[in-house]
Amino acid sequence: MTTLDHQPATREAMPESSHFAAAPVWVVGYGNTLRGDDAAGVLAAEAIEALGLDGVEVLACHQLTPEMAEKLATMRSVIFIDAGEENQRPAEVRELTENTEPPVFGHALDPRALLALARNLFGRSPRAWLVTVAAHSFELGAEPSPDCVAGLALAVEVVEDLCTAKGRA
Amino acid sequence: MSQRIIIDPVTRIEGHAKISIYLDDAGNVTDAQFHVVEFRGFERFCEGRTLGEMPALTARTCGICPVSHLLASAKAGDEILAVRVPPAADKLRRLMNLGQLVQSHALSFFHLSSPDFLLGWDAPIAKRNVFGLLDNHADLARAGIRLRQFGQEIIELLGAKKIHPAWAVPGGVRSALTKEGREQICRKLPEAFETTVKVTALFKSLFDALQREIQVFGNFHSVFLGLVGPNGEWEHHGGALRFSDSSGSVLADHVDPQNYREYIGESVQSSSYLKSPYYKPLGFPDGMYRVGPLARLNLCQSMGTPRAEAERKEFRALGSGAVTSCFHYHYARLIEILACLERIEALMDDPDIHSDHLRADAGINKLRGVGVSEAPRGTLFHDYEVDPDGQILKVNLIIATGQNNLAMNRTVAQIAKHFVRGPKIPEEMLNRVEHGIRCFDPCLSCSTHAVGHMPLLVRLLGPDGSLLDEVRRS
Repeated sequence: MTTLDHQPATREAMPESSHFAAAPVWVVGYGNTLRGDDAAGVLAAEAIEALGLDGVEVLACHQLTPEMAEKLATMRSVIFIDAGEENQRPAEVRELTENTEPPVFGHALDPRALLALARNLFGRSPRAWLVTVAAHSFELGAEPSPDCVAGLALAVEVVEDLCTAKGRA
Repeated sequence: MSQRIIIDPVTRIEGHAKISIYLDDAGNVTDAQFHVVEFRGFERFCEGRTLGEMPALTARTCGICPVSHLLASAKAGDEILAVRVPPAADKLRRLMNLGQLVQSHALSFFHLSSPDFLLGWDAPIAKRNVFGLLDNHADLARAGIRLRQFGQEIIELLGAKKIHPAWAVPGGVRSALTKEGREQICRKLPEAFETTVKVTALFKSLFDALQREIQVFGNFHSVFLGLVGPNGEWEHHGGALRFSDSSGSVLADHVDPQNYREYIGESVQSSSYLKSPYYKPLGFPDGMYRVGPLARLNLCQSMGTPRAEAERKEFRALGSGAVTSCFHYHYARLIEILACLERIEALMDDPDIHSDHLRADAGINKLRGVGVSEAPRGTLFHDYEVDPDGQILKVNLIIATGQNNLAMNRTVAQIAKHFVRGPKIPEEMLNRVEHGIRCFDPCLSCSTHAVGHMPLLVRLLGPDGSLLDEVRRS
C-alpha cells in the first residue's frame, strides 16, 4: 500500500525525444496476493494484460524493487497500480512527482523513490501516475473484499484510458 | 525508577518493528528488546492445502525471499515423496539459490547498509541513504544495482517470474536453463566479479576507521548454525547442519535436517510475534545462536572456491576463534557474493544445466518431511506433516530472522549501553542501533507491503507508562 500526500501533482511533463515517444507505456501493479485487498494492484495488472493493449507492457509483482529503475528509465510513461488504504473513492488516480524527501528505503521501494532512482542512476524518469484501488482488508486470504472488487473494475477503466488515446500516457 | 526507550519502527527493514531499551534508576541500559508486531499466521493458513501447492504458495508469503521459501518447500516435498532429485534438478535449484544470494546480499550491502559507513554515521538522515550515496559514490551505487539485477536475472531465466517463481516442485524443477540464458549469464559474470572484488577491497579499507563500531555492534559469544558440506565446506542448499561456538569448536555436526527438533527449541515471548529459537542442549536463553553469512563463514572449513577461500582466510583472521562482531555480517556477505559468482561460473560449464531429466515422480511415501536451505539471511526450515493423500496437516516454518531474534536483542542492548547515558536519547545512538539491526538484514515481510513505511519514533517511558522523552523522524 502506498501512503500518499494529497497534494495535486504539479510536475510538468518532461520534453521527450522521439525515441521515448515511441517507447511503451509500462503498467506495474504490485501487492501481496495472499493478503486480501493488498492484491488489488496485481489483479488490476493482470486484467490490463488480458486486454492486450498495443504499446503497453504489464508487470504484476509483489513489490517495487530497485533494479526496476533501469527499465523504468526507458519507458514513455509508467502507471503504477496499488492498494489504497486512504482512498476516498473506489479508484483514484494522480500524477506522481519524484520523491525528493529522504526515502524510507527498505528492500522494496515507494513508486516516487523508484522514479527518483531512475533519474539519478539512469538519467531519466518518465511521466508517472499512481492508480489506487480502495483497500480495507489485509488479512491472510486470497479473496479481495467486495468493495475492492468494485474498485478494481474502475481502476482498470482508468488505466485503459490512460494507456489509450483518451488518456495522456 | 526504571525507564524504557522505544524506537518504533526501525527504518529500512521490512515489516513493522519497534525497539525497547530499558534503563535502570541511574539511567544506564540494562536490557533491550526488538519487538516484531507483524502477526505471522501463515503456518495455519497452509493447513488443508496439498503438498504440490506448497512451493508456489509459500513463495507468495514474501516479496523479498520467495526463492528461499520455494526451495525449502520443494525440499520438504522431496522428503515426503521420498525421492532423490535428479542431479540436473539439484544443480539448477542451486543455481537459482546462488542468484538469490547475490541479489539479496547486493541490496543489503550497497543500498541499505553502505550509506551509513560510507557517508558517516552521523550524516543527516536526508543524505544518509542511497540518494546521498549517488551524490558521492555514483559508480558504486550503479554497480550495486547492476549486481542485484544480475542475481535477479538468473532467477528470472530459470523461473520466468522473478518475484514468485513456481518453478521448483517436489521431486525436481519444471525446466532447465536455455542456451540463451547461459550466454546471458556468462556475458554478465565478469562485471559482477569486478564489482564484488572492488567493493570488498573498499570495505576492508574502512575497518581501521570503524573499530568502535566493530567492537560494539553485536560483538559477543554465541552459538552459530548453518549447513555445511560433507567435508565441512560452505554449503547453501544441501549437506547437513552444524552448530559451533565462538571459540570455533564444533558442538554438533552432521546433523540430519530431519532431526532439527532434537537440537532447536522455539521460545515464544509475549513481547514479539517472532519465535525465538535456541540451541536446545544449552537451553533458553543461553542457547542463543546466530545464522546467516556471519555464521556460515564461521562454521565452514573452506569456501570450496579459490577466490572466496582466500577472502575467508582473511575474514577468519579477524577473530581468535569465530568472528563474533555482527558488523562483520557485511564482510561475510561480500565473501558469499564472491563464492556464489565462482559457483555460478562453474555451473555454466556443466552440461546438466540444459538437461531434460529434471523431475522424479512419486506419490506420498512419508507423512512428514523437513526441507532446509540457506536463505540469504540464514538457515530456513520448512517442516510439513501430511495425510496419506498429501493434504497438509501441520506446518512449522523457522525463518532466519526469527533465529537471529535473540542476537538482535543482544546487539541493540550492547550498542545502547555504549551510547546511552541518562534519560535522553542521543542521535548517535539512534543511527547506530538502526544499523546494528541492519547488520542482520532482517526481513519481516511475510506480510503485506503496507507496513514499514512509517516515521521513526523513539519514546522514553517511565515505569508507569508515562512519556518522559520522545524523538520522531519523518
